[in-house]
Amino acid sequence: MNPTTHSYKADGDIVSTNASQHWTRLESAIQNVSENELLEVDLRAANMVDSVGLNVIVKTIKTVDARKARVRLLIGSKSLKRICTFTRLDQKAEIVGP
Amino acid sequence: MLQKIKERIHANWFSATRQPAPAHGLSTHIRNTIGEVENVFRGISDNLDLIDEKTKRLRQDCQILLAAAGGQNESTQLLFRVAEALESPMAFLTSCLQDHQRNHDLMLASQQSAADLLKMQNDMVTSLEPLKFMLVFFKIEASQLSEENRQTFHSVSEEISRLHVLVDETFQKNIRNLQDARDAILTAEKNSKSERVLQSQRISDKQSEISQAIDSLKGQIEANAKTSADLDIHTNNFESAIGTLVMSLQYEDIIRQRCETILSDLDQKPDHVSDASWLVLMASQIETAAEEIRQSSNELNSGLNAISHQAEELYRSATTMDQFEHITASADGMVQMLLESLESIRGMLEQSTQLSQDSREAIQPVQNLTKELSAVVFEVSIKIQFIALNAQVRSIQVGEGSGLEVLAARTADISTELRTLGDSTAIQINELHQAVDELVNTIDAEWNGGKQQLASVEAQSPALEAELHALRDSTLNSLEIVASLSEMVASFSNDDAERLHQLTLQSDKLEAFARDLRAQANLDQLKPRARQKVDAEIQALLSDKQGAMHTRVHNDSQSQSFDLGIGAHLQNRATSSKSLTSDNIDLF
Repeated sequence: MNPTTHSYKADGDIVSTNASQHWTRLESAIQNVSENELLEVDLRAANMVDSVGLNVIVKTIKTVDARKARVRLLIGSKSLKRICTFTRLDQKAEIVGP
Repeated sequence: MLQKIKERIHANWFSATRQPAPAHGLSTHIRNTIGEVENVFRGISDNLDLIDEKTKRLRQDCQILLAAAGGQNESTQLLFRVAEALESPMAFLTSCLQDHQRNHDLMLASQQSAADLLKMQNDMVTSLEPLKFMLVFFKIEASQLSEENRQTFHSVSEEISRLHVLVDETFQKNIRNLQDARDAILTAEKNSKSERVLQSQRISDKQSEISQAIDSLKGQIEANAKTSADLDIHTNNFESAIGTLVMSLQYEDIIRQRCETILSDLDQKPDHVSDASWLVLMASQIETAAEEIRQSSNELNSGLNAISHQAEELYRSATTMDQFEHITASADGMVQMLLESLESIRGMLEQSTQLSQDSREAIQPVQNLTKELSAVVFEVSIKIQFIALNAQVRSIQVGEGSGLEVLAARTADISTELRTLGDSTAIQINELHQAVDELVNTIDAEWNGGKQQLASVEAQSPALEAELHALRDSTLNSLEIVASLSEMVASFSNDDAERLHQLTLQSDKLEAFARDLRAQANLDQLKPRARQKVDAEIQALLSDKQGAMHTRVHNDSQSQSFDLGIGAHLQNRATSSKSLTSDNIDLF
């Protein structure tokens, strides 16, 4: 049986100037995630994620992990995929694309 | 002079009339080949120029990362600086946890004192109970006395009655307050204990995490100082592969020289050389040129493959970056851990300060009550003594037999009993007062310390966090450079492979021309003696040509140096080609 999926769609890059807004929205999405459920974070509109943005993604994964749930990251850019590999996020969340 | 003019006319006439016919379109094809070779080599050189530029930038970034890995630059110092900034608040929180046992003891002592006081208050109320009955006795006794003595009895009983009301009201209130205070202490103690246990676990985990990360970083720095990082090795290999390819580009000079020589020779056959020898010489020169083009193409192709392979290795190494995992790369690495530590330390300090404030607010009424109780017990004790004394004085005034002296004596007993209880209560109150004061002082000190630590962390955090983010951004940027370098090399390799294929086709066509020329020479039809003469003539001609040709230069040390100087190589080659061209014309 497929787990219940919650989703969050980023409307663009996640960088220092808007990271806190993304986190506020992500945090409220995370509140609805229960054990064994899935949070799908759609980052296909994001071409760029800087260190502060990366922090938001890491925090999301850790918070969801603490709830014994999982995160799936939908990636659209090669650059972001590289960052996920480089930071071993691919070992902590399911990465889809590009 | 006349002889020279004759010779020139003779030569021109013979060259015009006796030149062997070269294969049709050969000159045009050789010119095309020269142009094609130049295009291919120039294209590869231009690509290498771009790659070289990126490699320089990459090398700089790698140096920064390698210095960080070796603990030799500001990046590593930053990590230690942040860890140091966390030490003081961490030590403060630890000392708060250690103080908490003392606070816990004080709270338990305060709670016990409050319980003892409650009992004492009840004892005092019990001690005053006989006063109720005495008032009844007073009334009975007073009814049998004269009016004057009755008034005296009445005034004494009134004083006792007022005291009783005072004691009832005050002590009931105190008992209620003491009960509330005891509950408040218990609640504060319970909350504080459960929160502090959680906090203790968090602080312990965080301390252990930071400590392990710092130890790991130190160990890593020590190891990296001794061994070369993979990234450095792959960058060196990549540069070396580029250097080798640059050296391969020397083929351009040789091919160009060879082709121009052939072009020049096509129309300038010396009179003393036979047509057959000249045609074979041309065929041989063209075959050599074709072979050189083929070799050049293969060598460049293998050079491009080597660059492509090294770029892939470099990319793989950069995206893995095992040696930098604990510094900047991993999501669990130093930067991430320190960023999270700064945030959690802020949270823990805020929580600790809030806990202190909550405890302080819970204890405050108890502190006020101890002051109030002290004053009330003193007042009750003084009043009962005063009433007892007054009763005794009045009983003496009334005289023996009125019964008042018995009641006065009983009141005096109660007074004594109450004073003893009051003294004990005062001591107990004092103990509670001291315990609560000490508790309040400790909590205040924690609160003040927490506020100071919080202010300090909040003042330092933004700058430290910004530096940590800048460090990670720089690493991510390096990763992008490596990635784009790798993509660029892959793209160039594909383009260049196509160009090199075109060169091979040119080479095939040149070989076809050579076969035509050899067919024209028709050496197989010559008689043995004539054939020997032609072979010797060809050998001599070839020997002359070989001695005059440009040769390749191998320079391994150049390929290992960082500054590939591709631009300079290009310039040198261009100059060399020009000088060779003019020299060759003179030579041949």
